[in-house]
Amino acid sequence: MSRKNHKKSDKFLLSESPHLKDELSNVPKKDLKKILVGNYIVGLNFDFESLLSGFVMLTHITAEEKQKIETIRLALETYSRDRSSLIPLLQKSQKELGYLPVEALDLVAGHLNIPTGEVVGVASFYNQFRFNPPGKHQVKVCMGTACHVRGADIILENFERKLDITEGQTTEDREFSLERVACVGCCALAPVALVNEKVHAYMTPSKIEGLFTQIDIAKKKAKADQQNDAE
Amino acid sequence: MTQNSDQIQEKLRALKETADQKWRAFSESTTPKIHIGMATCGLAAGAQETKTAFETQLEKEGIEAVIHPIGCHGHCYAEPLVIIDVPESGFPPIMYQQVNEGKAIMLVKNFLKNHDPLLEHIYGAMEENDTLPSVMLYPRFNMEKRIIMDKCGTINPAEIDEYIAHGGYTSLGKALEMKPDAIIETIGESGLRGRGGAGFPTGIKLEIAAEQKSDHKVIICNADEGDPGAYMDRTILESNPHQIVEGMAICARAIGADRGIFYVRAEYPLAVKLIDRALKQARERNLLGDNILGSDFSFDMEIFQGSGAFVCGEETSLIESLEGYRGMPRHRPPFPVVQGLHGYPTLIDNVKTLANIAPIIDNGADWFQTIGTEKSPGTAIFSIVGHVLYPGLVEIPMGESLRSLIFDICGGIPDKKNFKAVQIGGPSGGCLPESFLDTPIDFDSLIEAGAMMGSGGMVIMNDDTCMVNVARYFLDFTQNESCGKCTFCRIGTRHLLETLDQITKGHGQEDTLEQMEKLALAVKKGSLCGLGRTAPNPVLTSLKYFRDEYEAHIRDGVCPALMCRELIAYYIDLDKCARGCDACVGCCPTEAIFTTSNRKKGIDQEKCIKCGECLNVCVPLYDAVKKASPPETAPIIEKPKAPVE
Repeated sequence: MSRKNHKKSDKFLLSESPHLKDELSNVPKKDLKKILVGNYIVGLNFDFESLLSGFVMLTHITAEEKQKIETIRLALETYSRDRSSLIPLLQKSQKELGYLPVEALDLVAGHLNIPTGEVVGVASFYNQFRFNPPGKHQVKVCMGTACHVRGADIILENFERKLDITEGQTTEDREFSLERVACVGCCALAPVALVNEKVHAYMTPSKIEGLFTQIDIAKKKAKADQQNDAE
Repeated sequence: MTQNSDQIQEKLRALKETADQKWRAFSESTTPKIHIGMATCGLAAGAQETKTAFETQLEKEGIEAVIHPIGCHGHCYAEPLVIIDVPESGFPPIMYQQVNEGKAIMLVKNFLKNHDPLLEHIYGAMEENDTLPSVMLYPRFNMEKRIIMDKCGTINPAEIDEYIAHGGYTSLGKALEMKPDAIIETIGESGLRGRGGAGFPTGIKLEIAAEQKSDHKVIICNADEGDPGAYMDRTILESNPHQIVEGMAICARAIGADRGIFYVRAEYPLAVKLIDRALKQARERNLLGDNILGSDFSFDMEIFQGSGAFVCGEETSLIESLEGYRGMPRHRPPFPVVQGLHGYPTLIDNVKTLANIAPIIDNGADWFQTIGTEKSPGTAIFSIVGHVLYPGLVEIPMGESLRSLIFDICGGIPDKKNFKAVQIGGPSGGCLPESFLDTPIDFDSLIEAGAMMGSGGMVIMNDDTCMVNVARYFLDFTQNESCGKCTFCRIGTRHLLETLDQITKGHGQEDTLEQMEKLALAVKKGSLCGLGRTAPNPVLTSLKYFRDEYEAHIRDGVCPALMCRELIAYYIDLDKCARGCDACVGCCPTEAIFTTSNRKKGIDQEKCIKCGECLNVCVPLYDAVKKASPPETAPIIEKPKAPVE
C-alpha cells in the first residue's frame, strides 16, 4: 500500500535542491515533518508517512554507498543510452546498493538524458525497486494464495508488531526490514517467511518469537567472539 | 536444399553422438548415482543442506558416488526428493521423499555402503520390478500425462548434452528442413492453444506473424509469472530450459524472426541463471546464432528481467516495460503480432505454449490431437496448493474432471475436513463449489462455469475458509497491481475492496451486494486489459455460488467459516480446560491469557489479537480453545483482580 503512495510524493523536487538536503540531513526524524510542511510542500497532496520513509532514508547515504555509486558510474558506460536500457540500469544499481537512493536515480537519469522524475516514475511502478535501504536481516513474508488461506496476514501482523514498523519499511538501526512478497513458490510449506533467503516453513506467532531470540543469541555470540578475538 | 539438409543432419548427428556417449558413460557405469531435485521448491525445502550432507558423509565413508542435480518432479509435498541408484545392490533406482540431512546420512551408511535400501523410508522404485513397489502404482504418478514436463526431473537442466541425449533439438533439425509454412501448418493442425490463459490458437497467431512484411521480427517468451500461487513456468525453466529455447527457435524459423527475448521475472534468479547458461551452451553448439546448424537461418536470444509487475504479463504492457516505460497496456489493435516492440511484429507466447512446440514437431499434429479433448488438445499443468494432501505440479490431459484431479491424483482434503471450493486461474479466475467438481478441465468448460484456465494456479479450500475473505484477498492483490490507466480498474477495484473490507468487518448494508455486483460488472466492461476485465471474477463467482455466506456476514454479523477476525472471538471452554497446563499462556504473543481463580484459563478479549496460536497449541485431548461468531456470543470469563498464587 505504501508503494502506491510513493507515486504521489515528488522526490524529484527534493532531490533537486542539494542545499535543502544538507540542511535536513541533521534534523531528527520527528521534527522533519514540521520543517517539510513549513518550508516546501504545503498545499501539495503528500502522504507524510511514505515521504518520511522514502526521503529521510535517502538523506542518510553512507560513505560506503558513495563509493559504490562511483563504481556504478563507471559500469553505466557499458550500457547503451537508449531508453530501453532504463530497467536494466535500475536493476544494476539496485544490485550494487541494495536500494535506489536519489543519487543513483540521478545517475541513471543523467546517463539516459531524461529527467530524474521520469526515472522515479518508472522505478516506483515496479515492485522490484525499493527506495529505502534493506535491513541487515531482511524479513519477507509470503502472501501467496496458499499462505493466505493458512493465515499469512497474522504472520505479517506479528512481525509488524514485533519490529514496530509496517511492511515496506526498515527499522531505524537498519537491522531489520520487512516486506511482503507475492509467492516464494513453496506453497506446500505454507505459511512461509524468509529471513535473509532462508525459508522458515509452517510459521506461527510463537515461531516468530523464537526467530528473534535466535537472532539475538547469534548476535550476542558474535559480540562475545569479537571480544575474545580482541583480547 | 538437399545438400543443406544433409549438412544439418550431419551436424545434429555429431552433436547427438557426443551427448549419447556422455550419457551412456554416466548411466551405464556401476558407480552409485544420487539424483537430487535442486529447483527452487527443492532448495526451499532444504535440498542444498541434503546435498552437503550426502557429500560429507560420502567422503567420511570413503564411498565413490556421483551426485546428479536434477530439476523438479512437481511433487512439492515430498521435497527434498532424492533418487538413489546403486546398480551393484541389485535394486532398481529408488525414490525417497523428504530427505533431510539425517536421512541422507542414514542412506549413505545403509544403502550405499551396505546395500540395505531402508524399506521403511522408500517412496517407490522408479522402474517396475519384482522386489519393490513402483511409484507408478500411485495415482499421483500414473494418472498424469507428461508432455511439457516429460524431461523435468530426469535431466540436469544445466547440461545441454543431457537434453540432446534425451532426444532434444531433433525437432529443430526437422524444422530447419521444413518450409516455414509447413511448420505453421503442423502447429495449426495440432490445435495447440496458448497456455497463457486465454487459449488463443497458436497456429493462427503464427500465421498472422508470418504474414507481416518487416525487416525485423521479434519473438518473446513470456515468463512473467506473477500470479500468487502459480509457479509452473518457473519449474519448467528451472528443470528443462532447453525445451523452451528449442520451441522458440522453431517458432522464430516459422515466422522469420531474428531476435528472441526471454522475459523472466527477476524474482526467479535460479531460472535466469539456468537460461543464461542454456543460451551459452546452445550458441557454442551452433543451435543459436548465425546460420544455425549450417542452414540459412540465423537467430539469437537475450534475457530481460521483468521487475515484478503483475500487469506485465499482459502482452502490450510487457512491450512497454521492455521499451523502458511503466508497464501500462496499450490499445489493441494494432496487436503486437502486427506492431509490437519498437514497431516490429512481435510474437509473444507463454512458456508452456513454447514447451509444446518441440514435441508437436517431433511427433506430429495427429499425435497431439489424440491427447486431451477435441477443442482443447494436449495437456494442462496446474500448481495445486491449499488444503490438499499432495500439493504440487500436476500435468494431466485436458478433459479430466476436477474431482479426479483433486481427490484421486492429489489425495483429497486432509485432516478429515470437507471440500468447500476450488479457486482456478488465480486473481482472474473464479471459485467453484462442489457441484462443479465433475466439470471437465478445458478452456471452454471452465469459462462456461465462470472460472478460467488462467495461468493454472489452483487453490483447494476446505470448509474452514471464508469465501468473502478469499474474494477480498484476490481483490487486494489486483487492486495493488492495477496499473492505474483505466478509471474503472483503478477506482473500481479499490472501491470493491473497501466494500469487501466492510463486509468482513460486519459493516455491510442491505443493498451492498447489489451495488457490488453492479460495480463489478462495470469494472469488467470499462477496462482495457485482461487484468481489469477479469479482476472482479473472484467476487462475482463467490457471490453467485456462496451468496448465503455474504448474507450471513451482513445480516447476522456472523462468519460461518470462523475466519474473518473482526467477527470472531476466541474463548476457553472451562469444562474442558485442564488446570495445570500452561501451554496457551506460554504461547500468547500479547499475554492476553490469564489464570482464573480455580487455575483454569481465560482470554482477555481486549488484548487478544486473534492469531489463533492458543488454538494450535491446546492439546487435542483437551481441545479447550474455541471460536465463536459473532464475538458477543463468547462466554465472558472474569479476570481475577489480584494475580493468583
